[in-house]
Amino acid sequence: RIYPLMRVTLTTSDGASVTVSRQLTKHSGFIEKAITDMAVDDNAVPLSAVAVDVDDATLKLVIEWLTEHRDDALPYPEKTDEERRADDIPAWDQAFVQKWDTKEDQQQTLYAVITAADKLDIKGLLDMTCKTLANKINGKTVEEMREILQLECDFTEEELAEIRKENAWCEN
Amino acid sequence: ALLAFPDEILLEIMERLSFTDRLRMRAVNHHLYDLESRTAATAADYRSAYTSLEWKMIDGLASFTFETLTGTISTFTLPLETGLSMLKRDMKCCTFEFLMLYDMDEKCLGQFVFYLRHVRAKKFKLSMIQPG
Repeated sequence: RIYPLMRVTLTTSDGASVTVSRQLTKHSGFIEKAITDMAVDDNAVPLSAVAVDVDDATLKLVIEWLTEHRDDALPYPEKTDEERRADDIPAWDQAFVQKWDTKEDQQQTLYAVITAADKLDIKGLLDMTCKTLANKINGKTVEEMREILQLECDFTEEELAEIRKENAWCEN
Repeated sequence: ALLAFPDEILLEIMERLSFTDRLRMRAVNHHLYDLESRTAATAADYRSAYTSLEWKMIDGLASFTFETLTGTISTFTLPLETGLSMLKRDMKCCTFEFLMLYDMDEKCLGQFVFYLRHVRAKKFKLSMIQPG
C-alpha cells in the first residue's frame, strides 16, 4: 500500500540528504524494495531513510523528473520489440534533458542520470534517457559515434578492414 | 564513458537503434562488437531458422516467408546475385544449403542476416516450404 503523505529520506553518495514524498519514490524499484526490506509499517513509521548510490546533483535531477511524472501509471509498461522506438520522448522530458545536456557537459550528466535511473530502478527515466542517447547515435557514422560516446577505437587495421567489409552493404 | 554502463544498459540503447546504426555501433570498438555479436542470433538459431524457413523463387527473386508464433505471415524478398562470404562468415558453423544454391551479393546477404536477427528478436517461429 502507498500512503501519499509518507516521506522518505534519501542519503546520497556524497553525504547529502533529501526528504521526498513516497508518491515519488514509488516509481523507484530500488527504494521501494529497500523500504520493504526494512519491514517498515507504513502506518506507524512516517519517515524512512534509504541510502542511494547517487550523488546529490544527480539525485536532484532524478527528483525533478519524478515530480513531473509522479502520477504516471505503475507498473511501467513493458515494451515489446516493435515498440522500442526513440522518437516518442514527451515534450517536457525533452526540455528537461536539454537544460543540462550541453556540449560543454559532454553528456556526463546524461550518463550520470542513466546510471542513477538504472541503480534506482526507475524504468520510465531509464527508458527516456536511453532513447535520448540512442537519438544522438542514430544516423551517425562510426567515427561520429566514437566522438559522441567518447570511446577509442581498439581494433587493429586488419580488424577494421574486415568490419568495413561486413558493413559495406549498409554504408551505401 | 559509455563502457562504464553495464551491458544491460548498452543493450537498452542498442535496441533502440536502426539495424544499420546497430551495425555501425558494433564497429566502434571491441566491447560493442562482442556485445552485439553475443546478443544477435547464434548459429544454432540460424540453423533452426533454416529448417523452418519457407522460401520460393519468383521471377529471379528469393521470397522468404516466416510464420509467427501468433500465425502472422511475414515475407522478405531478395534478388539473387553474387557472393556468399559474408553469410558464411556470420553464420559461423551454420550451413544454409538452400542459399548456397544461388548467388547473392553481400548487401543482400547482410540484409538477410539482419532480418533473421530481427525476426528472432520478435520471437518469430520460422517454418519451411520447398522451392516452388
